[in-house]
Amino acid sequence: MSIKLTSEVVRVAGESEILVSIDGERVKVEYDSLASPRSFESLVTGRKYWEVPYVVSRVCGVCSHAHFWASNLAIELALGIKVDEATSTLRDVCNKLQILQNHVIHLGFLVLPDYGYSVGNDKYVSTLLKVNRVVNEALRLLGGRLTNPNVYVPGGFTEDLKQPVIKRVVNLLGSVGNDLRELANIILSIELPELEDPSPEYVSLRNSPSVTVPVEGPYIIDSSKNTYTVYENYREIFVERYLDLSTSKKCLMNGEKVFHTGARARLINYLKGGSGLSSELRYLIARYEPLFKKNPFSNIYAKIIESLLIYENLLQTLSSLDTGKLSRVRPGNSFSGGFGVGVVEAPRGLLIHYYELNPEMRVIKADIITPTVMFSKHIEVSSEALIKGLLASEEGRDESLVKRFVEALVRAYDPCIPCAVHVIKMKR
Amino acid sequence: MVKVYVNNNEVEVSQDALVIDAVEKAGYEVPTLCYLKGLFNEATCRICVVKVNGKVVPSCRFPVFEGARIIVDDSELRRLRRVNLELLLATHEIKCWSCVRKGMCELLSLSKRLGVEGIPVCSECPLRGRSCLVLKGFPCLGPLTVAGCDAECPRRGSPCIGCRGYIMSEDVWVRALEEFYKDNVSLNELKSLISFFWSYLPQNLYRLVREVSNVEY
Repeated sequence: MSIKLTSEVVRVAGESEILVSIDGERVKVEYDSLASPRSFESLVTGRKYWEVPYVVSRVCGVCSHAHFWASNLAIELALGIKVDEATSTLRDVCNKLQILQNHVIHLGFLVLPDYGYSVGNDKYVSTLLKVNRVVNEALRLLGGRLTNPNVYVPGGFTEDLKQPVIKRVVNLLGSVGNDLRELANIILSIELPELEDPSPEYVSLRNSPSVTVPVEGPYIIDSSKNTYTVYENYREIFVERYLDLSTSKKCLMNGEKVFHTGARARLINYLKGGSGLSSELRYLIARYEPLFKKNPFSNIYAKIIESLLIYENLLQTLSSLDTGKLSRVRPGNSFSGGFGVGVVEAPRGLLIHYYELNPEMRVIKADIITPTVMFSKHIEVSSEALIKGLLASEEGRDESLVKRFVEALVRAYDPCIPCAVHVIKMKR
Repeated sequence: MVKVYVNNNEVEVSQDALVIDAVEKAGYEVPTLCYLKGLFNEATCRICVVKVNGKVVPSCRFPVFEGARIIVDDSELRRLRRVNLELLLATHEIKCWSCVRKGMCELLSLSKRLGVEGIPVCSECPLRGRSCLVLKGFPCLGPLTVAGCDAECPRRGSPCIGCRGYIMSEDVWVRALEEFYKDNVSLNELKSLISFFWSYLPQNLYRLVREVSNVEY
């Protein structure tokens, strides 16, 4: 049997295409982007250090806080600025709010229709919109704007966040606890297709997502078997490769291993050392952990469980946060040039920003590795495994079924094509 | 008393009433600028134009008559109001960064309402005055950017990066660059920020920046 399938994957962020070639027993899957080049690294080159976060936060509307934070972190480390604990906690809170928002919207609008839920269902759509509205308002209060934040810049916050604002955010969040649990019940009742993860390598920042204060370089990254201390050596660990016939980059661990990063990886690694978790959530994570390690589709479960975890964590952090000590540090006059690396957990996984500044504090070199670049190879190998499994069964030889399952798998990963800034349009 | 028809609704007003009174009585609103009820109705701004029996007239000056058919709003009237406001703005010395009206600007509210882009973000900025970011040395693009965002970034201490687009008027650029920016911020940094969203400035503005900053742009 020989099949060649090309399918534009809808209901993912951005435009992408999956190419499946089946020739007898051999299955090959290529996941490509249809987005045009965005060249953010060149856009920031030559710019003054404080302009950089404003530019790179526009890489993605869904995870603008992650990009903003990672670039702030890298620039601060390059300039030798150390911000206070309250500042980094608040940045982390903003990032977590966006992770929560991304998970909820992705699951509700992009994933649930795959499993027979109609977006026309008033009940669950109004729940989704309520959570989205609350997070938007909280982000506006803390980060300045809904997307593309403007309040925290390299060195600290541009304005004092008063305690009543924090209290208002806590109250706002308090109003959506039941909605999140309701959504969790819906998601966790979904029956997932069977699939064995062909490359069980999970990479995440240590203790994320519960870590409240960002680690300042070097960063400790856990994988399934190893622990890496990452700073300027990040290029040796996360090797980006150009593939033949494709101009989109694919990232491999140490240049050889296909790996996954994101909610599933975070939860698997979290159980190793994470603390400060309610027994209910710990039980929930422990219960689904074997599934997380086995089935790539379970990223859907991981996302909703992580949302609950983040929700609990946000309430704890914000209730005990003292914003009275927010201070803004400005870079000194004597700067002889240097570089910095910022690593944060974006909604979809690890995000790395690297900037090199000249003595005038202008960027001379920039590099961004986004989560989608990291796990797009994992999408390909999982899809191959899925198709092989389908072909073994009688009904799996139906082309439309193969297409439906592969698309559902891609959606479970939640790739973000505009984020994958290196990816450029390929010519065939 | 006379009977008139405002947008086909019949209203009765006294014989010496003005068209604007009839419009108000019928429950409609017409934008005004120079009109002050009972004090000033010289029809100098021509923002309050309406159509009476198909003719465009200033409603604050025109008297009613029996059977007058008044149209308060249509696309032609909106266009005329916009043109009139643009003409007013062309002769208005826009220096919002040092204006004393502190946000109580009727030109601003009218520009927002009619969709005219001529007033800079400074007009909405609560930092205007001693806390101004430009006066502190930040290259904020507020003086050159079209208002309408309620100065969301400068309001929270973060400089305006010009996402709403630039003001087309060359006069505003000359005043901002020569009277405001030149003494307060590094023009090199300003130039860099201008290229953030406005890479393709019109030739005249492009030339201005180059002349004032004295550097290649």
